[in-house]
Amino acid sequence: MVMSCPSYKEIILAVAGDGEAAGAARRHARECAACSAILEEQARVDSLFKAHCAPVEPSPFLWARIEARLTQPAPAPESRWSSLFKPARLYPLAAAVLLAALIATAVMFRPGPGPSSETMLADMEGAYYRTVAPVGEDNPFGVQDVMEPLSGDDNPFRLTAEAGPVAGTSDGNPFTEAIAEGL
Amino acid sequence: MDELKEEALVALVRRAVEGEAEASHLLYQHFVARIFNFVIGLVRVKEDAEDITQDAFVQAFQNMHALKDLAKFEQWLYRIARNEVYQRFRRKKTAEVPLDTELITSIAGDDSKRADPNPEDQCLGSELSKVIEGALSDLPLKMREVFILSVVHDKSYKEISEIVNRSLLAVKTDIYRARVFAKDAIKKYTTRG
Repeated sequence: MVMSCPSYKEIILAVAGDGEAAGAARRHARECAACSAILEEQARVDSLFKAHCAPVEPSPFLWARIEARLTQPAPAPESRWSSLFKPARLYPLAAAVLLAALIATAVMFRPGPGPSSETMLADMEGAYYRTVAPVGEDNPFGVQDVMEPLSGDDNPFRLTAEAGPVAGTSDGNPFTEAIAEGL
Repeated sequence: MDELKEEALVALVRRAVEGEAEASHLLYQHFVARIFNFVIGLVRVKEDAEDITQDAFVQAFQNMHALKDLAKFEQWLYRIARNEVYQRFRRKKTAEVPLDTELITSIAGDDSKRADPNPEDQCLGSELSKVIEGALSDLPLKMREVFILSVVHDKSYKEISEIVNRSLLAVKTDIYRARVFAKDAIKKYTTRG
């Protein structure tokens, strides 16, 4: 009696397999015509490829070339500095330095924390009113007071401007009496 | 060359590790054919295969002290050769491998040396060689290497797993896929003809 057939993969791998599964598959194929046919077909394909890849002789000079390379003096070890300045290492280093310089420049010239946008807007608005805007109800800075001519009691310079006689003197001259006393 | 007994191989490798040139030469003589043919199976160009084989042996002999298990020298050598192949492909930045017309011709020539070399057989042999070569070239490198190691070099799945540094399951799966691919290629050719 033929036991149940192994999988197609197991049969294919059994062509060259050396494990227990391969052995079992080969034993099974001896009693199962279908599996035996698969195994034989695969073995034929394998033999075709094996024949195609028949051994090719390498050049008889190959050993001489290998020996020459083995006996030639090893290249002098490079110093740390020379290996550091190899282009392969130098380019990333240069790129890193350039990047660091860019970052440093950006940090140095970054604008400091200034007034808030609201304060700046208010300043600009005030300057506008002081210089350009006509005096009116909308002007909160009282420019009208500054611009109007001074008059009456509000004028702190009234006395000197009117030049009246100084109180308590005979002729209004505060120095008359002092002159008379011979000072 | 006959297969070396494990003890003899280990002794030879030990002498090579100690720097004995004659031991290195004997190791080269013993392994060069299989390494060269493994490489040629992957790159399909004889000149490239020779350069890679040379690099692989130089690498191996210069780094013998790095080999931990002396009995695994062969697998180690295969792995170095395989790495050299991959490096070569990376340098060329292409996994496309050109067909080696010289190789194809040589196989076709072998067919023509059969007992009955009539022109029709010669033509068929040459065409079959092209089909096989095409199938090999169409296989991705990862599949091609395990297929060649299994089918051409008769390595066990475990040995292949050590050489290519992949799990046994992954190796078996790729060998299975490559076998099915190869069979389909041959089938197409035979049903067409």
